[in-house]
Amino acid sequence: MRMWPLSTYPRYAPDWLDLHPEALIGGILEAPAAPARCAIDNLEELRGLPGVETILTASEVPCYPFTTAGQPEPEPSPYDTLILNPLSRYPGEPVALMAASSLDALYHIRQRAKITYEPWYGPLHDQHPNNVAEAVHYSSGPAAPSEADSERFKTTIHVGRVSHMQLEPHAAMCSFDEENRLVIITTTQVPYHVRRIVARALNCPVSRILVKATDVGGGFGGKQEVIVEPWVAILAVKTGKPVKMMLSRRQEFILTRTRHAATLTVESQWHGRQIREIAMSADVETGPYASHGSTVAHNMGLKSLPLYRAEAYHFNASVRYTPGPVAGAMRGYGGPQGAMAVETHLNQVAARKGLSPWCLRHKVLAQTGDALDIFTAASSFKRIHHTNLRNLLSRTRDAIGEGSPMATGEGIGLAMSMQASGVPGSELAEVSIGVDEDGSLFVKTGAIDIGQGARETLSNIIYDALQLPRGHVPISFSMGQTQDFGFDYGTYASSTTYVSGLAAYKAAGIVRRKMESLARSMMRHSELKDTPLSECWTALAHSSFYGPRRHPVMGHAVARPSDSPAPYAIAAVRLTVHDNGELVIHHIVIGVDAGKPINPRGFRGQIEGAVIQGLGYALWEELELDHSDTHVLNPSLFDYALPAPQDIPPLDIIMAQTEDPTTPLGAKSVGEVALAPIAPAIVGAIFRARGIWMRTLPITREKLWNALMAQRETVTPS
Amino acid sequence: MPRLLKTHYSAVVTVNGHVHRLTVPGHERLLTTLRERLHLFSARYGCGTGHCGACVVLVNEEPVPSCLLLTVRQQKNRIQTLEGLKKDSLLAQLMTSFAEEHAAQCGYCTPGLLLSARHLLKTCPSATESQLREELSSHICRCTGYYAPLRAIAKVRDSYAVD
Repeated sequence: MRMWPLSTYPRYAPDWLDLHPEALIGGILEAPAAPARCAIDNLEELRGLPGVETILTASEVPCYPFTTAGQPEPEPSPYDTLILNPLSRYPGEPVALMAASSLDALYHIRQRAKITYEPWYGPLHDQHPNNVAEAVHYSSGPAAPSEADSERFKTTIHVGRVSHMQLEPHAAMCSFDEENRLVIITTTQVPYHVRRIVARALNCPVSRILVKATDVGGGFGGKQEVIVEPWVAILAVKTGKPVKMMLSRRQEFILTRTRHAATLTVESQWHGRQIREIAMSADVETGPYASHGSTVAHNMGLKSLPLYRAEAYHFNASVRYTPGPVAGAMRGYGGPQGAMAVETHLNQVAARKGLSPWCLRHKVLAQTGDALDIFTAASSFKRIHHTNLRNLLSRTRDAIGEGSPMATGEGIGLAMSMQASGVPGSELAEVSIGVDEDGSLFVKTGAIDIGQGARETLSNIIYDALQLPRGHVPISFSMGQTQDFGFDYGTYASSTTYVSGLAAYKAAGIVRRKMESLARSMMRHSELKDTPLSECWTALAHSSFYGPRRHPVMGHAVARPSDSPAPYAIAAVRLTVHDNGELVIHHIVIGVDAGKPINPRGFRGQIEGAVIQGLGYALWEELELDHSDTHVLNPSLFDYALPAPQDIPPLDIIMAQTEDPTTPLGAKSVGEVALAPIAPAIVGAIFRARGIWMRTLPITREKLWNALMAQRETVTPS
Repeated sequence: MPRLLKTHYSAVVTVNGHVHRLTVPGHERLLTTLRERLHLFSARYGCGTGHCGACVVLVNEEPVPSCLLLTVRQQKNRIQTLEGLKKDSLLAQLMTSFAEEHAAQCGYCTPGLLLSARHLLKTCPSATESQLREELSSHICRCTGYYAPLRAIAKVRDSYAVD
């Protein structure tokens, strides 16, 4: 049962904002064009408008560079942004921040502001004269494999940028507490990173900032970015009053984050049915600020190439600063782009070799014990594959009905993907569990329930570790309240079950040992009969506060796993492409190896949601830019196409029934893995249906129709 | 700044059976009134253009996005939000079914889905799968991919039809 998200009590950040009518309303004056140096000509007039509290321009705010990417230190993303940047690098970027007593006053400022701009033709960042934020080169295996009797293949694909489209917009409020600390109420996946990043932007100690994370109305990585928080914080500091700000839907599209657009090329060299060498090169458009750019680019290779056995691997990526919206973390984190390239490549190789995509994968799939970290130095910790996917591959193949007769225009496609369970070697989670006097438990953690079911998952882990029947005692959570401690790197990288769950498991183990010890001591003094712990739980809890051996029970544990086992997904799609370009998906089967499900309904929900986001990525969604690649053309739900309930195909989920050996929970992660293989599976199915390769996402009906027309013209004899 | 025109108007809105007499700006939308003045948070901002369904309320028993309604024009309408339907048995069944099916992941879109589903099952108790999908197509749910809400509503429909 997941009843609490049905509650209508104030629990999202926008609700808390609306409960504070006394707070000033924050807003932004947006850059009309970019890249450009913008100026407000009538600043003094605007400041004199009724209701206007302050208008801050770039010269009036602190200039401490930071990154908006919510990642632990040492932050892999460059510090290339300021609270307000003197050079506006994308349309909609704040030229000035404003705070006023009413929305009408903000409206009047926007109406009257005379913003002039001087276009900028130089590099977007001075320290990167060629607009390359980072270039990545990795290689492993023999330097130059022999060329004799080998075949070479090459595939190039392009993926567009898409928006997270969380239903709840970014919203935050900053006020002051009795000790003059800044209290930030915000909707975020990374409360502790918000605290640290705002402290860096304002150049103040982290202890001056309290972050109160609210329930999150959809994250998908978009709330792993610290966007609104520094703005409300500086407005509150400058005015000395509480300030709140919520972005509009249009602003969500243009000034939050997107998934990286990229062009990827995969080349491979084969000897019979073995890969000698596979090389990926990625041209990644990260937008005008790098944000997660370099780590996402790394993951395009690291989440796709290790699925297959090769003698040598090569990965090159160029992360480019580009005008237009800023790209950032989004569900899949490089995986969808990487899978689209590598899986399409494998499907093309299979077609060229006259093999079925299933058969080819049986030959080249990695085995248990093969390296996952294909590029790390020999000395450091190397992750390996823990499972062999061939059985799951066969089960998926049988479920989609491969080999059964096909109608005209019908085809079956296959693709695979993998993710991680937390950032390898860079995770930390702290969980405290206390037993209250009535036996109920309170749990303090920095992990957030962003809809994935973290509360149910952590509850189940705690009940199981305490060996109590699930639901035996109530559990209340404090999630993401930095004043309550419970440090956590945050809810991202599919880490909550594997990392925070492990900390909860350990903390619950401590609580159990303490309760058992209390029970033994009470039995020795005949205060308690020899009964199972679950039956005397409440009496023990009461006694720990009021009995002769009173000592309230609390368990605190930390998890910092060095491993990060990979969950896998195998997608099979059966579809028909009609002559008019209409694409009908009849069935999707997704085989998932994510270890033991701890919260089965949440597990299923994560897969279903990811599949549909993957379907949107494949077929409809794209944040389109104008001819100069700067302005977003479709920043509204009227123009941005999303999957609708009528588009949802029948979906079957096959579970691998494995348990991961690296954790006592047996569970890996499931949040992101099912998204990536959908697009390449559809591409593969379209090829088998019609013999055309769609290499650019999204595969809109228009593109498909054009491709069918081109094919018809080519094959018709003149 | 000179104010030449009247900007605030008196409005009478009947929400969940309570009559509220308010003075609001002429352009204030019902969503703002519900949230900021009446503190009814089940109507939520998602887009402000009527596409996402997060702000749906019942106006004379019909689900309507409240971001498209002007508060000053509501005096003849009976408005109901999820908060006012706590005693409704069909809604209670839907809520239990949603909870069982894990149909509310982040829960932001859920009040709208529940109100539309209740309206559909009231007007058409044996709604087909395609009618269910059509009804939900005025809502955006980014978390669930619609599978779980559709299952939850179908479950209630099947038990409801038997009753």
